[in-house]
Amino acid sequence: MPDLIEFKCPHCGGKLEFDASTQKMKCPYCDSELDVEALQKNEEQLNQSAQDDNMVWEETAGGQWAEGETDGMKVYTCKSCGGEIVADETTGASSCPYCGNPVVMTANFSGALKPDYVIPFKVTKEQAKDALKQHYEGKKFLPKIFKSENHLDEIKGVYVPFWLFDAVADASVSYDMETSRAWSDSSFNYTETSHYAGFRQGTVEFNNVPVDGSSKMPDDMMESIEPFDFSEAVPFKTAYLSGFLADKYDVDDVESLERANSRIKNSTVDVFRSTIEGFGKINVRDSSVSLSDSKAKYALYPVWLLTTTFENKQHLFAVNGQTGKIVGDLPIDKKLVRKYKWIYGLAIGAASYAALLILGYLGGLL
Amino acid sequence: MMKRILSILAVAFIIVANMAVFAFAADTEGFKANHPARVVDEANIIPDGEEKEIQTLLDQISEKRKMDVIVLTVEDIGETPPVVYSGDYFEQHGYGYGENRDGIILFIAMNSRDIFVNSTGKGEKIITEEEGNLLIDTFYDDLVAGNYASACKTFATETDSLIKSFNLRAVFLAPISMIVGLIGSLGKVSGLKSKHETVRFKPKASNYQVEGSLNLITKTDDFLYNNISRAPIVIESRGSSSGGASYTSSSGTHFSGVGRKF
Repeated sequence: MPDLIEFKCPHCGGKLEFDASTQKMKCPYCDSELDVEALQKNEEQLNQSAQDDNMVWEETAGGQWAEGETDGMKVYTCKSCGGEIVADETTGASSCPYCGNPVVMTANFSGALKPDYVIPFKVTKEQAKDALKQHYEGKKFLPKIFKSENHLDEIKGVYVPFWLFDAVADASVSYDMETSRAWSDSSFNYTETSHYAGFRQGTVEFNNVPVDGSSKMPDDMMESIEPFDFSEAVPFKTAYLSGFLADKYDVDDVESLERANSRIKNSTVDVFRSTIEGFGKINVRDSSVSLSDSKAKYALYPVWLLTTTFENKQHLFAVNGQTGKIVGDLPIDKKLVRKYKWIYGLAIGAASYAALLILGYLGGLL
Repeated sequence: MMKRILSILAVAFIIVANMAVFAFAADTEGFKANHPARVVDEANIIPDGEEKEIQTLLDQISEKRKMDVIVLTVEDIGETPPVVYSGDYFEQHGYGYGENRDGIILFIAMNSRDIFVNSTGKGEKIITEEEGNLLIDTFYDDLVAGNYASACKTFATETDSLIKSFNLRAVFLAPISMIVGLIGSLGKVSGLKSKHETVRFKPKASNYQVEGSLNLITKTDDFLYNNISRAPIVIESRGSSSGGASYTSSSGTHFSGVGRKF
């Protein structure tokens, strides 16, 4: 006797029965009819896509500092927020780029991993300040005091440590799709929904997926100022640091993996889904992703940072030092919000009153 | 300081808005002096005692609602359509309120068994074909049964309530516009607020996907099953026949209404 696999109805979950007259599987609860072969194939595909992910990385990031390479590099610590900045002696650091408080030199820089690459600063300090000024425009609720007290000149160029991940993702993804059509006769409106099972299996390659390696640098902010163009990266040399600050990494590559994996997986499922065409509704059933050829690199990316305190809160703004893209959440002055709520309310209310009156008279309703 | 000014403006707006409603509602001319009786029972189908009662009722309603609501019964209208007969009568005898001579007429022609609710001026806005039919439905059975007095009283009270609900519509304007103002301003403000936020996570790595590296080994879209559902079409049955009619008199007054046989 061949294996009797119990099939569940994909529409209502009931146990399907074989109907000899139609030679198909039928659901006694909802009357859905399914082809045996299609069911079997669907089952196999679902199993394949339900497998656990296998996303592991070879750890090859970073190098060793050569003798004397770190001479003159000092570590500065911020007593207020704990941030650790590296700068060469001539550049020095006096205030923390994250909280604006003074920093003190605490040690000679040594021991840590040497970056593999660096994207040198392309945006100048003046250009970064201009970008900030533009960012402020059109923000109606920005507190007036904030604008005038802003110390734009305190903007600092910081090299932020990033882990860059390369991999080839091999994935099996199963999807549910639907199309429907409708018609009517004199007594009823009919809707016919056709259900499909989609399956995609293949590979897609990713290069230089960045995850920031500094716990002080907010991750969402760093993801917001993406993308960085790695084609402009060069092998790291300490000379690039001169005149700028660098953040020591304190989130190692192992910890950053999860974020990289999540982003790669989401992109893979998404790019596979984009190959499904002609359906009104598409849902992901399950996905299984494995990585191969996985490598990690350690790089420094350029960011202009400005921190401003308003009403005892820190507001951090970042400008991508390569592309000039600016991000930062601007504070909202509640008083201004209230004022505008009134102004808009009265204006819109008066306008709608007039409009309703006119429409009412024209339409013979009043 | 700004807040004070704004609150004063707001209160002023509300007051003006409400005044405007009443200004539009009031008319200056009113009813003519030596206004004719509001019950004209030429067909003599309403008992005398009842006639006075109905007259008083119609007078009250007409004064209160600023709308001339009258009852006209005749024996025979010959070939003349009910809308024309009642319209001419209304106009020639000086009925009507205000500049537009607003009015609503219950017209009964016994010989041809015609019942017609006519209207002119503001009355036309109230007695639409649909409303007119629903109105007749309320006293139709009484007419058929010959209870003319009762039918007239029902006509009067129902018409009164129709005018009342119609007038109420204008009252809603101010609160509706205030709500629209509120929603509109909240929407606009929230839109402006969101411009302040630019920091968010990037859940995907699409920028880092190597172009052209997508290699799909398996690509299948297989049909699983069909499902047909149906919903019955609900046909809303409206009241009885339509029977709408309109008429423009020689002096240009427009009448419109609905009627049927009884």
